[in-house]
Amino acid sequence: MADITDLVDIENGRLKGAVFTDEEIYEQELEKVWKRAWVMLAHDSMIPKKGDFLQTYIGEDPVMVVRQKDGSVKGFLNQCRHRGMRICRVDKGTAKAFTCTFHGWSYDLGGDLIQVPRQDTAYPETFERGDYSAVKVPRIEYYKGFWFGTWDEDAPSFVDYLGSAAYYLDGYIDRWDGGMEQVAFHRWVLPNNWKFMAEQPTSDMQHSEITHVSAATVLNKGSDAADRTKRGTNPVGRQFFSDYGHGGAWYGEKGAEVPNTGQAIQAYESQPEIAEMIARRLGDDREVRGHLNIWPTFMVLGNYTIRVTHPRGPHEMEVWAWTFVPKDAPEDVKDSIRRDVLRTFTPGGMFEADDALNWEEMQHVLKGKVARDTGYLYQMVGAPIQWDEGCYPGGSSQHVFSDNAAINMYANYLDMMTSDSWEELMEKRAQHRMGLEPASVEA
Amino acid sequence: MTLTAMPQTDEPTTPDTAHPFGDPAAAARPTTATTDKLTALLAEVDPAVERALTRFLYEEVQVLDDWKWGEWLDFFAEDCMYWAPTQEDRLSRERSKRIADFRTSAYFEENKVQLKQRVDRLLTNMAWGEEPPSRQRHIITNIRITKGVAEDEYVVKSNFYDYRSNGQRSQDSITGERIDRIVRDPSSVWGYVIKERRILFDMSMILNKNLSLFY
Repeated sequence: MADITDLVDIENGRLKGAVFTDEEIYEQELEKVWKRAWVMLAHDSMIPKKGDFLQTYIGEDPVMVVRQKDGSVKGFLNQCRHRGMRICRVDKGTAKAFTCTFHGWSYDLGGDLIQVPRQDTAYPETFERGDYSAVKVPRIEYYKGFWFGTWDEDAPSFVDYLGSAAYYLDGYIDRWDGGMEQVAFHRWVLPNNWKFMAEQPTSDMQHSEITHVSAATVLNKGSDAADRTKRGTNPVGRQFFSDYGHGGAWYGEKGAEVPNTGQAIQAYESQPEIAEMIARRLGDDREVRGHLNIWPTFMVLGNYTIRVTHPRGPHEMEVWAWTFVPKDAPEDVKDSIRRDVLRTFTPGGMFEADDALNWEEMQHVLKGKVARDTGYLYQMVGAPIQWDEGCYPGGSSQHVFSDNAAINMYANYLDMMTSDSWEELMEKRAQHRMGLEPASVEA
Repeated sequence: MTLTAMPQTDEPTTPDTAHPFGDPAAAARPTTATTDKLTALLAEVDPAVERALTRFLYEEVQVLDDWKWGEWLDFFAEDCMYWAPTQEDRLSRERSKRIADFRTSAYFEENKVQLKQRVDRLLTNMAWGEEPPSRQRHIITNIRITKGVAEDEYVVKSNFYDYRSNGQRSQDSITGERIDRIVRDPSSVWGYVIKERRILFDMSMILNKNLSLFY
């Protein structure tokens, strides 16, 4: 059996390639990561009315997410309890009930079994429909417009899971009184391990200046994208990380003319009444938008592509990406954000195209035995870790380019993979806080 | 709208609402059959025009397959719209919502400035996903030409099968339907220009790693 502790060397910043290729490791991930972590299921604007539903995934498990009659949201495994058929086979819609097209078992909006054909005549009287509800997602929590779910009843609350990352996530999603809404959706498949993409918004800003040089060169002309050429040769910025593997980074500091968002959103937010609203909600200095990932794969980028990725074996993943806009913004601002995202971070996006190539090639190279043993380096740790520095909670480094958040992500990954419960995981994470002596954690 | 009149920000080009994608001339066709449907369709477009537009489409994709990205822009009007909506699986009663509306979810929604931007990106020779470039082969079939609303304007439907081979082992392909609105423009390089193209990919989830070329 593959032992994850042989593959991840946090102290020296090294990973063996098998972390991204091994079938046994992947099976352990489904058990230890995907059955345990909080995963984004839906946003209010995706299922606004009662009976609205969508089909998504937690890991490899298909999940129905349904707006209930009382306005709450429930989730259940999209698998008929009878013979395991997928209950619902469309992407989204509005329904009163869900009927399996194999033998006709029907489930209500909450996943309770309400009808079994031929029950009266062909089943014994002892058969109880109540015993065979669809498997419910036991924990669902709401956070600022988004619904998150986890299979693990012992998980901490979502807010506790976010930890210090809440400060940074709020900097993207909690800016406007009217909230956000999704206005576009893209889905595609990539031929690589899911952690390659997760790592990038968490901790890898530096690839952008090389991988995306072609897009950055052309996008500032005749486009609403951010002018990335203004960042200069040695851009300042900051990177953060949080206990349960979350991380992110942004260019610039308060007042710096270094855009992380598109031009339309910058213009919108510089209007005095909008700026005042944001300052009232977030304080005066929370411009933290760049890239962010809430572990495992809830990703938010500064131009408002917000996505979840789903693992599909060690060698493949799916990207489910939505474009979000401030709900109360003028139509031209919303449209500008939408077009900027579609031209940058979708399958046809000019940034996304080059990321896909990197990950595909990395995955191919790892077919080699020598290549798998060589592994990867995470040693860009020149910027020291600071704790609760200034207004920035949790661990952070005063540099936009750092591997600290990636190392923290893999440290959390290792702890998840080697823990048998959330209780054990929480203890390990407290002990393994990077840049802090364990004693100071206890004090 | 001309290119010089276009703002330097990417203000959207709105498709002519009087001219929706599909078969705008359908309403003008006689509903009481004076002849069979095929004869009526064939009578709509001069065979010489049909031959010219068919060749136009073949020449267009040849330019793409030959990596002459800059020359490909010659096939498009200055006020063009190059649009590829997404689609998803819906219940039969909601099937009219299957294809995303204009200005919602799209893989492409490009005016000519923006198409040129994509071309310029490929021409940097640093668009690593296409450097070294893929060998792409466009197969264009099922070409059906009907007349548009305006004089010298045609609606050209075609199906495509686009194959891509990249590096040693990477390959993918994608199929779909195009609906083009093409107008005669004797001053243009090819004599005709595409005013609107709607590309409908057959996949609801894109199974290819990216859509980094043109379709």
